[in-house]
Amino acid sequence: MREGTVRRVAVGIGAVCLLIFPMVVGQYAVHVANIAGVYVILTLGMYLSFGLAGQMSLAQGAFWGIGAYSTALLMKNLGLSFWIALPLSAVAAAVFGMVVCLPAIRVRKFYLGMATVGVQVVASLVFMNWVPVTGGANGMGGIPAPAIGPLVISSQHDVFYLILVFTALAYFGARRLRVSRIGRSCEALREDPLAAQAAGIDIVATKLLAFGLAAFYAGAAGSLYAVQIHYIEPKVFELSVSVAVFAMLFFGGHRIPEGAVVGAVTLILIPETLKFLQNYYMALYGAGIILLLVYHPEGMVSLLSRWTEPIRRAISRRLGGPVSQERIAVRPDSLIGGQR
Amino acid sequence: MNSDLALNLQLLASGLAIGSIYGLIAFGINLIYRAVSVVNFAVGELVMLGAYFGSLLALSLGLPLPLAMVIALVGSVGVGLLLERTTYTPLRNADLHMVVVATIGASIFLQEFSRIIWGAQVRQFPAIFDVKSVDIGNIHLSPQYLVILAVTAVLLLSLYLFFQRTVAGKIMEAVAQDKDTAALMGIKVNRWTTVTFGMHGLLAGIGGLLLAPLFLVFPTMGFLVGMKGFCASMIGGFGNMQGAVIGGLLVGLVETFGAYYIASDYQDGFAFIAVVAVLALRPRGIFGEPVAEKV
Repeated sequence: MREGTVRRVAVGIGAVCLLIFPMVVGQYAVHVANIAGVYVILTLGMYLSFGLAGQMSLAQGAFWGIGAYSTALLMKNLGLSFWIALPLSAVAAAVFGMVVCLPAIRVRKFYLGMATVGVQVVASLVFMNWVPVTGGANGMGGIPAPAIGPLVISSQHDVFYLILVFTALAYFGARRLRVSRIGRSCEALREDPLAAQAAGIDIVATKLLAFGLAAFYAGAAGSLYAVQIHYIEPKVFELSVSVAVFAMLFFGGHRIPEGAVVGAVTLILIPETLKFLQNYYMALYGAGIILLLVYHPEGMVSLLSRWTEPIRRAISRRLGGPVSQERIAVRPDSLIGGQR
Repeated sequence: MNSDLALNLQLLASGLAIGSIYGLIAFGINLIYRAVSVVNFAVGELVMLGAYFGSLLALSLGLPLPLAMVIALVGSVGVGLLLERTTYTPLRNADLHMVVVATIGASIFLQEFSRIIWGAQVRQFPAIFDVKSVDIGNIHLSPQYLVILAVTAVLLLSLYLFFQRTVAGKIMEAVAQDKDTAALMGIKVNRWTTVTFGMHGLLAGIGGLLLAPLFLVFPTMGFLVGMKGFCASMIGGFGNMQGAVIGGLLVGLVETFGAYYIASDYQDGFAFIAVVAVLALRPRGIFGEPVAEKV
């Protein structure tokens, strides 16, 4: 059996496990899994802007909120179907992301992060204070459940499959984008904006696109969140979310979409599974980020794949296939001794 | 005196006072940026720790306030140095983005650390003067505003003299301008980088002690203050020392007057809106150093 087949079998087993997951666990576990799915999409968005294009953005929580509020307004006030509300919300967030980040894009590298904090802070204030539209601190309740014809997706178990589909779409979309022309332009921009420009890449358009894509993902995540919880309030879409999503991306590995998935899922699951850590987990993440950067800047995914390397080799050898090299390639040169 | 004028003068005083603290923080941010080309996201947490140290020493340990403040500032310098050792030193040869991300990690860690150790509840800070307000005609000023203005004025003047007139200041300037040449001149660049981080911690700590009586003390008190320090630094002109002060005062005034005349709910947003406005008109900030890249 060849390595490729082994991988395919492993992916298949994983997919089946995900499909039967909600049938074998309780309501609360499914709820946590749904939240994790939403965060995976948010973090994948952050991967596209920061991991791929090197544009530091700490406004992911704001874009998430725009998506959630758009969906709530479109479904509640205009009575639109979820299937129209979701793309509209994602596009609304993307347009908002591109417009507000237009002035921010002028700012030099690290200060861009600061400028996006401003976007986040102002958006949070608007969610909180624009009472006629957002309901202010009381939030918005009674967001209807999405439906496919007569089939209403209302329970957490049903929503799980909905979120699973979109999370998968987001993940494979990000993977596809990474190797596309757009993804290559983004990487060129990240590594050396001047050289990218010299190579004929429109760096302004690429920066805007990176922000737009991140916001698009966040908008879709917001839409899903709104129909999962049926109630949204401004304190959900705070700066702390943007920082947490940033931490998730770095925890998993910021240069690969897999890192976003692993980072988001672990950061959501750890406080749930290790209740005794509840108080400490954010502090541990803060310290963990520094330690990872110092000792292993590629993140957990590449660390895990290094740790499981002997096992995978052993399986491969047992099955008589050729022994493959490390699968997840992270170019170390882009991390160490880069632009100074 | 007419009461509108009195009100505006009161707003002016509080705006300048808050603004001079932002200026102080922006000064520290620029110091670091010029020395090592990174920005420190955890600057607000240095402010918060300065306030905590002062509050704990003065109220929980009952030390006399001046002694508590001195020890708190020593602690702030220590935290600045610790920050260098943990986030800058191990990563200085890597992509500098990594250092910035590490300071975000430090910011999360310090916020959570202080919440775990000292709890989320808001702490008091002893007032420096017992008087409720200083009255000039019908203008009522909090004495704390006057303390802030006096302390920052003295501090900024001494910083100016330090950088203009002392050998140490000149050495730091040389290191900021060209590390390699400075090293060839026999300057121990790494040692002076450490001094810069210590000064960064000191300035942030002073900011914290000055803010504490106004804001009270809690784990997240510093984050937005730090971000507004960055706003001040961007408005004044990236890395420009006078710019930091002018930018800080501007942010303080915009925020105070905006909160009163436009919308108090949006007080924390005005600083960022001011940044966007200034950058749209002058992409390099007021004092013209390149803060933006041309797009």
